Amino acid sequence: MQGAMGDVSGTREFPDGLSAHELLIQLEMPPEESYAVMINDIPVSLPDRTSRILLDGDKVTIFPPIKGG
Amino acid sequence: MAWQGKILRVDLTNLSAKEEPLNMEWAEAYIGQRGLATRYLMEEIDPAVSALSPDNKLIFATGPLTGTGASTGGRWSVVTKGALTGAIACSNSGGQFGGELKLAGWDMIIFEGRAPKPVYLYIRNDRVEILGAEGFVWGKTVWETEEMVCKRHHDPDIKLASIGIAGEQGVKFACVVNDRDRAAGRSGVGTVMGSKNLKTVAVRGTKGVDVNNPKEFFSVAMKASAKLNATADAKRRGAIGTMAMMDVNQAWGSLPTRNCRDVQFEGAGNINVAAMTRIRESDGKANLKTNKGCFACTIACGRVSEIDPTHFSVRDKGGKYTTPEGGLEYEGAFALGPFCGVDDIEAATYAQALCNEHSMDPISFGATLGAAMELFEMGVITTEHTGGMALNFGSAEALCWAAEVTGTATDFGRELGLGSKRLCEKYGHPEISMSVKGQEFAGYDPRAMQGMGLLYATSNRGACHLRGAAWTEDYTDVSPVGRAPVVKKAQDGMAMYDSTGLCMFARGGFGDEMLIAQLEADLPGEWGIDRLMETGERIWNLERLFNLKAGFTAKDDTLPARVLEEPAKTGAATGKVTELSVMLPEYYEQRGWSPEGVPKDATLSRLGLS
Repeated sequence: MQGAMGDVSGTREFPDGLSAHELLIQLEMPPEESYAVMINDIPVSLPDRTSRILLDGDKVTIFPPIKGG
Repeated sequence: MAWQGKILRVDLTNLSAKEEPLNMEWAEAYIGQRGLATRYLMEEIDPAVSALSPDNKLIFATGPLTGTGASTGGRWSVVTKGALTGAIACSNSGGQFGGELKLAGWDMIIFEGRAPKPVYLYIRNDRVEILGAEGFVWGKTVWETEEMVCKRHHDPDIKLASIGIAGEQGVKFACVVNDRDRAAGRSGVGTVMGSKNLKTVAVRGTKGVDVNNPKEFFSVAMKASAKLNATADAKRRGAIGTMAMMDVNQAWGSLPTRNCRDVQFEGAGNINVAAMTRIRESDGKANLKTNKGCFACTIACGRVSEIDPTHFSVRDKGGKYTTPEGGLEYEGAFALGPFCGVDDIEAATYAQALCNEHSMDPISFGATLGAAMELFEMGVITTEHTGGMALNFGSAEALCWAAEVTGTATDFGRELGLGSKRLCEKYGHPEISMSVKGQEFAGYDPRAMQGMGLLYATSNRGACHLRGAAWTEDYTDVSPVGRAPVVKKAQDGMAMYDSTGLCMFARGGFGDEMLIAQLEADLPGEWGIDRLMETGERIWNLERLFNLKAGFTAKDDTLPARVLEEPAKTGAATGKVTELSVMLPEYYEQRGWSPEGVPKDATLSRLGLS
């Protein structure tokens, strides 16, 4: 698991069959707050997150819903 | 109510100033600041005039919440016809100046004409003086000007909005800098100020601001601050600031790198939040010293940095740049860093300091240098042009040198001071300029952020990320589908918010409900969200009308060929270009504009603009 901005980063184990959507919930990142998600550097769009199941070795990058300025 | 009800009109040609009542009918229809000042400008100038002619006007404007104590209520704007773009320019700044202007009893200042000799304006509440700047602060930096004016008037609490040498010398992307390191940054508003021979506006205000319902206002402002401060977003902004975007864009593949030849930068890890907070071996300190806030702000996203005293850029400068000063914010950092292929955070911090003291927009400066670096690597610009300096991508030495010569408008700095569009046209390669309507891209490559592409193309002040981006959609899906209505709504929302006196960074935390509660305790009448959003739409269309009269057409609502034709090599948008042709017709339709991008009569009539 690799977090944007260097604040959370490392390797973690999750149960088999976990979806990207469920991962956000496990990490206490409410999906309605529009966290952006990439798996192995490929974006996973909102509608695909419930069907995208995490596999062994996946690199997940999650951005908080921060906006530029 | 929080309006002082007074405008100061300064006739620079005749060196006179007079007080006028604020047009309250327009304040009702345009809220204040961006909207209200644009309404005045539209009434008072022909949009076709040259931006640098005495016929252009320069307006400093506050919003109804500026100076009130509402969290982030210190914003103010400079509105004029932009020197960089020839389009409507509205540049928004924070710091202390806007609140001070309101506390001195003035809602807005309108500058007309051109002073026969350099002057500065000194305001102490009702006392207004136009004083000579020649032999005093003319030719000085912003920082020297602030110190000298405070000293002359024996008051360290005077707040100033000034131009440095870049503004005096006609650098096209000169900005207006207040409080040492806050700026009305974009579109060349400082260039217009320089063309009027106006060096600085120095204000001391002790009058206070009367809100409509003080008890209610205090109560809702406290509630709004508490709500804002509790959000993860506000905490994150205070802790890591806008620099957070460096890692986000690097990961997403939307980090404009080497003049947009690339969308990810291998050196990003040397110029991001982690690099800013890393302890240096040389002096045991980090680049980031602390954070700071603007007037009444409870977020405090601003960065304060100390440059490594052993760094080549500053070690021979007598300690001038090694005390804590305004540091890198993301927009400066991307332009001075990845856009030029530079991964030296100390060099970028030094270049940012020069942008502050000489009054240059770091986005346009960095992006112009990036374009010049590409022309250099193409062999179009050579060391003969530059006087010996090699402008290769990645050269921190070239970055620091370029900031010095452009800030002081010397040697090749005069060429860089043209901005990327004019520079690239002059050297026969207009396609190398990453700009729209003459204004350089902000720190988001529009191939991985399709909504940003539509925003760049349609923004009334030229390429800009602050005019209404589809942040959520762009960071969740690389697609042009459905972006038009999102961008339209975001543009209207930003136009509205930029007119209130609050900072856009408070918007999410406050929510509409707290914005409305504060406005209604501040001003007479009801300010529901429908009224506010319609006002935003009115402002957007008024700006569009200004640009149409200035000579812009739908042909100018476009993007450089690079992002329309050359696919992104890496990142989320690998193999993709910006699909503007998919988004633009839908956008015009959403706006109620003709296929030629002209507001239809029914649209203007609905908005009260016909």
